[in-house]
Formats: sequence, C-alpha cells, structure tokens
Amino acid sequence: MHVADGILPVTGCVAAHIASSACLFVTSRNVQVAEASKVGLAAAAAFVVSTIQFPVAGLPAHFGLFGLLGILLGKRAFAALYACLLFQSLLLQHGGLVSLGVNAMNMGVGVWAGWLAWRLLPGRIGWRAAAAGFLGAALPALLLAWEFELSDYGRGFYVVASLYAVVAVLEGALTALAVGFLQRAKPEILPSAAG
Amino acid sequence: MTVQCLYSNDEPADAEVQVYSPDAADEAFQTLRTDPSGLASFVPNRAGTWLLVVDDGLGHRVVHEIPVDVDGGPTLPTEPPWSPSFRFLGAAVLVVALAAWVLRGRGPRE
Repeated sequence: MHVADGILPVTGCVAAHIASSACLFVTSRNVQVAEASKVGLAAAAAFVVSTIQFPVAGLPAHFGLFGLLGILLGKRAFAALYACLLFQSLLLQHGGLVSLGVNAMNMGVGVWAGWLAWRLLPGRIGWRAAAAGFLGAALPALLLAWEFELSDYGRGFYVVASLYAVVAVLEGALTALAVGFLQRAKPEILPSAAG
Repeated sequence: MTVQCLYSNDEPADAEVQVYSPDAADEAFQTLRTDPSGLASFVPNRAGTWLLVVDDGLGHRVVHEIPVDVDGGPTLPTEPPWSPSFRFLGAAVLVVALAAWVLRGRGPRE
C-alpha cells in the first residue's frame, strides 16, 4: 500500500511532508512517558508484522495494523505509524523517503478512521474492531488509488482498490481477533467507546 | 542481458522495465515488459552504467544501475535486507514480548 519514490509529483510529496509533519507535531504534543512507551511498542509491533508478507494476486501484501493502532493509541497512533513507515522505507524498501509524507497521510487517515470507528460505531466490540480494521486499510487504499488516478499512473482505480480491498477484509478479521484477545487477557488496554 | 524482477517475497513481478543507456539519460533506450517469470532482456550496445527503472503500475518502483564493462558483464542484483528467517525470529521475539507485557501482573498473587 506504499507509494514508492518517483511515482507521484514532487510538489505533492513536499506538500504531504509538510502536512504529515504538522500532524505529527499536533498529535504528539504533551505526550506522557507511559504513552510514549506504548506508542513505541505499538510501532514496533506494526513494523514487525509488516515484514511478514503473503501473496494477494501475486503481489506481496502485508498487514499494517492501522485500525489496531487507532484503537490502542487514539490520536497518538499517527506517531507510531510515522515511525513505522520511516523504518519500513529505510530497511524494507517499502515506499521511500520522498514519498514518506504521502504514505503517512494516506495511512494516517486509516489509523484515525480506525480510532473513530472504534469510538463512535454502535454494537459489539468484535464488530467495532473489525470495522476499524477494515476502514483502517480500505481508506488508505482508496486514497492511493485516487492519487494514482490523479497522477495518470498505474493500472487504474478499480484494479488498485479491489486488490487492497482483499487486504482490508483480512485486516478487519485480524483486528477483531487481536481486540478479542486483548479483551480477554487485559481489557484495560482497550479504551472504552466513550473514552 | 537478462534481468529478473521479483517482489520481496520472491514472486515474479508483472512490470514495465525502462532501460536508459549511459549516454542518454532523458530518453528510454528501450521499454520492456517482464514475462511470467519476471524476466526481461535487452542488448546493451556500449559500456558504461545502464539504468533500469522497474515499475509494476501498483506503486512499486525500483531504480537499478548496472555497470556494463567491455565484456558485457553486469553486477549482481541486491538482496532484500532482511532474510525470511530473520523476520520470523523477529516476529517470534516480538510476540513473546507483547504477550509478556499484556499478561504482566496476572497471576495468583491475590
């Protein structure tokens, strides 16, 4: 779901860097020590999970845990995501430093959507977690497909979107499983819907 | 010269390969398409550093330089930085650490 360097126009990448830096500043202000360790651990988890790839229509797909990051960290999830993307671009050749801002904004929408879905949607915890996981992956995929369309790049909106829709469904299932485990093992980790 | 384009999970990439010769960096010398095995071939017509831009149209793109000497010998492609076994080990360590963190404080103390 990452955009590599050299695909989108440089001006767009620069604008996204500015926007993502602003988001990083706003969402990371006044972070407490306990929160920082939680953010760091969640970022590490997302990074390691992203190294485990599975094929979807021949492409190497991986989980991003966007919805789970949003559920566990709320607005702080953006910092975890940004750190994860930075190390992915440096170590795994996922995306690139020029397109880091674009990737952060695309997937940042995903983590915040996951956070909002968890907080606002009615129903059982499992369904809310699944919705958070699905939206957390589906929205970045739609943004990615739209940006490719705007840049007149790639195989078309529907090919890109449908490819990542499969990943979004799997991400929803994984998020529901992870939240179900946390609910049984340590429920205080999960912020309440009202919180 | 034949190049093989693989994703990091060793699946062959269905990608376009633009080949730039050492003396014309602004215009592609040739545009290739990988076959089902991810292979694409071209014939360099001079020595120097050739540039390959591989793009699958789905956001994955890599630029690779291939020095060609007078005998036509290329450099070997670079390996992914993390081997699958290293990734698995890292994942296992993290899962154990996470489980320990989540379950800390639980037990028959009270």
